[in-house]
Amino acid sequence: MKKTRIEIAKDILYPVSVLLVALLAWQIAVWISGDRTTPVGTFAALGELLGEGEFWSGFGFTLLRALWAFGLSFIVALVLALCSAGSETVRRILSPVVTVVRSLPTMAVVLIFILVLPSSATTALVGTIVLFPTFYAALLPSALGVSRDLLEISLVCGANKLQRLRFVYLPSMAPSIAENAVSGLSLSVKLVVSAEVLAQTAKSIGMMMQTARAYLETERLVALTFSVVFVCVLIDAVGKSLVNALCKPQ
Amino acid sequence: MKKIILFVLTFALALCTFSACGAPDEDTVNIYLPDGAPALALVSIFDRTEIAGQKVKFTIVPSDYISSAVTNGEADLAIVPTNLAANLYNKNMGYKFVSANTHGNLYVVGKSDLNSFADLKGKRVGVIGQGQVPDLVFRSLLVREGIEYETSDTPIDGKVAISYVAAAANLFPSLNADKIEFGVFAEPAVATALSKVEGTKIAMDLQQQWGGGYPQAGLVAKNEIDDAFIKGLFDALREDPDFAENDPTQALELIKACMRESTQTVIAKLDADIVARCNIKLVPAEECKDKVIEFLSALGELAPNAIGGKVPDDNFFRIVK
Repeated sequence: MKKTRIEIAKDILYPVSVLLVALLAWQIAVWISGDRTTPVGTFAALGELLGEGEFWSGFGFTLLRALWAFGLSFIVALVLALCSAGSETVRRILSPVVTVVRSLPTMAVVLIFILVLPSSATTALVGTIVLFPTFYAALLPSALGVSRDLLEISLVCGANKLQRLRFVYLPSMAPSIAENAVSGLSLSVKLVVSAEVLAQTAKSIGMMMQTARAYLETERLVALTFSVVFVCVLIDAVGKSLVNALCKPQ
Repeated sequence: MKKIILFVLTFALALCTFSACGAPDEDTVNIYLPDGAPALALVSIFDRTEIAGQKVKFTIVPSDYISSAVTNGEADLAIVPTNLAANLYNKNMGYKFVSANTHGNLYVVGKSDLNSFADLKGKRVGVIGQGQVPDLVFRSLLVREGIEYETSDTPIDGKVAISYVAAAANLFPSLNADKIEFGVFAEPAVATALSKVEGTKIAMDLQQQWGGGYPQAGLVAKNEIDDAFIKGLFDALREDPDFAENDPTQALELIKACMRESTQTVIAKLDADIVARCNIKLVPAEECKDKVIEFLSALGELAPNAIGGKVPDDNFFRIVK
């Protein structure tokens, strides 16, 4: 059903109003507290950032690391979820491993990895380790939920493992894979930025944040935070639209 | 019964939470110092509870917390890197520079000798704190010597490959595993590197390369603090300027005692040689003005934001008569 004009206007009006109220509250807080980090100053800093080559190169590398972390953790989680769905033994072996990996404190992982790995690799690997259990936990029920009837039919028809994967598992799991991919990618960006701050990764948004903090450039720091938030929101919005378009019933 | 237990537990938890919020004592002058060499700058007076008739409290915090201690106003006086002092002044945060207290404690440590900066070409050098004083001093010297550098984890022909880490502790394993040939360390981490990584030595003294040291860190004071207190502080410091060098064991004990709750000092050991390499000396603002301006100009050329956008004017220096 097509949205009416009023509904479309509401879709735009509500978020814009919320944003304006938040900015007003921020400005009032600045007037009361005497703090120097004003909305106007922050947007000016954001404008300056957008004109800097260093920002774009840092941003590019941060996104690249986030993509690495996301891709690696997602593929590993998908493969292991499929293996676990196919074999109870694998599922039982992986269960404690995934629990341990999920319990690892993120900051501790960063601190350990920066002792042995280059900081750039550390950030991507930290993202991978934190994301993997989340993806695995989300994908396993989906793999286990694949229709037994369909699997039996495919066996009767003589489908091999690869064919069962291609024609039974993946189509059944598609909505779950797509949803997790969207939420996972923006989470990956956030994780990688946190790790970059701690690991002082060269050419990264995290390092730029660290430097802004050290140089007392609060408005620049907030502007950098906004840029990360904006990208995460954009990934979520574009991703959800794609998922809706791809998974829409024909 | 369950409800009573739940109530008691909740009450106890709330009590624990509120007990952490101690009200600051308005009459006490709070002096903050970052852990490491800067903490040695005032160590000889750490046992004082009163200076110039005013109650005083010394608190040593992890080095990356020191900027927060001044920006949130916790510190009435603080030892801070000179570039942070300029930044505070340029951003009108109500602090002025009263003295230079550490005059360079940076050394290049490696397993081989260095005769000049040219020997670093094609080598990987680990540097602590990107954009901070150790990094800016090192890069400034490279620029002065006409040596090209790049940020990289792999060696580059004809250039110095700089690899950044957050803390010295991250450089030890890299140096040990030959992932870097040299590391730029700030004493007392130099001593830790020499003892932890076999076969290492001090390959270069960056203070010498600069031309006899530079005002790396100094004391800043809030504008509300009166001159009499600062004068009293200077007089107290002048009573025993070599205290840390003469009694490093006692100095380390005093540092441990002044560490902020739940934190530990990064200084693993202290002896007379280590203290000497920290180049601690009180030089009031009027005597170090030119050197501070020269130092800030050099850092500002490399990273203007590091000093708050411009070299501060004369009012930056607080002259105490």
